[in-house]
Amino acid sequence: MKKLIIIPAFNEELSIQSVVHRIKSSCSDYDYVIINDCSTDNTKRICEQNQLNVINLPINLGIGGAMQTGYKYAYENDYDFAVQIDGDGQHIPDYVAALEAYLVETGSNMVIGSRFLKLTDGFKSTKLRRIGISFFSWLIAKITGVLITDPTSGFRLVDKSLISEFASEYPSDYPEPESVAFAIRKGYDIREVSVKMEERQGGVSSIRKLKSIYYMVKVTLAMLVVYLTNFKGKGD
Amino acid sequence: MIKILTTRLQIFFIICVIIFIISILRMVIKKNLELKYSLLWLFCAGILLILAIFPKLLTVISELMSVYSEVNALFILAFLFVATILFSLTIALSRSSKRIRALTQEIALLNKRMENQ
Repeated sequence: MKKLIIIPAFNEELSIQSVVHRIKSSCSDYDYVIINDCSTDNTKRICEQNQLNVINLPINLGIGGAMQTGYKYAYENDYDFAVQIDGDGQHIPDYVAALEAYLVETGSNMVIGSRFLKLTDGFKSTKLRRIGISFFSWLIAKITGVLITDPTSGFRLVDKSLISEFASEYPSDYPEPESVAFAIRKGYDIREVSVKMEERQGGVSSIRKLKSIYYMVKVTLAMLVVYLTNFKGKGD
Repeated sequence: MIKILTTRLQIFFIICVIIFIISILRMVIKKNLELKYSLLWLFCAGILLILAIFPKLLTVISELMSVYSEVNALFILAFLFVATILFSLTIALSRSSKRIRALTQEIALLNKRMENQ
């Protein structure tokens, strides 16, 4: 089994080393690749100095473009599983084994690490974000009939079929909710597992408060497009 | 009582705008148009639709603009919308050409690196 962890990183000079270090110790059976989204800080230099496996994008593409690059890399190198772990340290690599086990056990195509599946402690994001998240949860349920409690979570494991799907088509802005709706509508099996996440370890989130309204409108419209698109034939 | 918009004109506008909105959505669904760049068009078309359905709003706006005829106000508004969209496209184009330049240089340097190996 070839297994890959994709680490999208934009200006994560403060956290990238500890993220990789933690991954190496909790997920020793996984390869990893950092996708440096044209960072303007020392992310690239730190990766080079520590001989970390990194792909440096020549221009900034955003999280969607960066993750798609990772999926293309996974596809080219014939990986069976791909997991997204953000370069900011919010995702806890120790849960990867649980995600993988659940995927294998249920035969699903994607397992999302959800902060809201069960009532746990652990960082659950700001109140404003949580309202947005429950809105998207509701919207996805309306469009697909499937309840996803944490559609904005980037912490997700996919199998080979979705690696190939996402390598050829992946949303460019705010991809998390849209990609889930898209995958479900195409006939893939998506599940969730309960996880905890950490608070961001330094650096600044790429979604600022001012952009939030644009984010909500754009993703909602994108979901409408997914709803209206006629998917003939599953890619599975 | 003076009608703000003749009914025929009103229906004409409403049908036009609805056809336009549907065409945009169809192109986005078929992936011929990026959702991001269609947003402004959809927003402006939406506002024009509301104005065409409720012409009384147009009276308010034309008073604000000090324009005598409401129909003129509608056209001025439509022109302003199109100008805004054009400008946003100019900005997007500028950004795109900058990125293409960066890509071109990267490829050229990559080729050089491969030659030297």
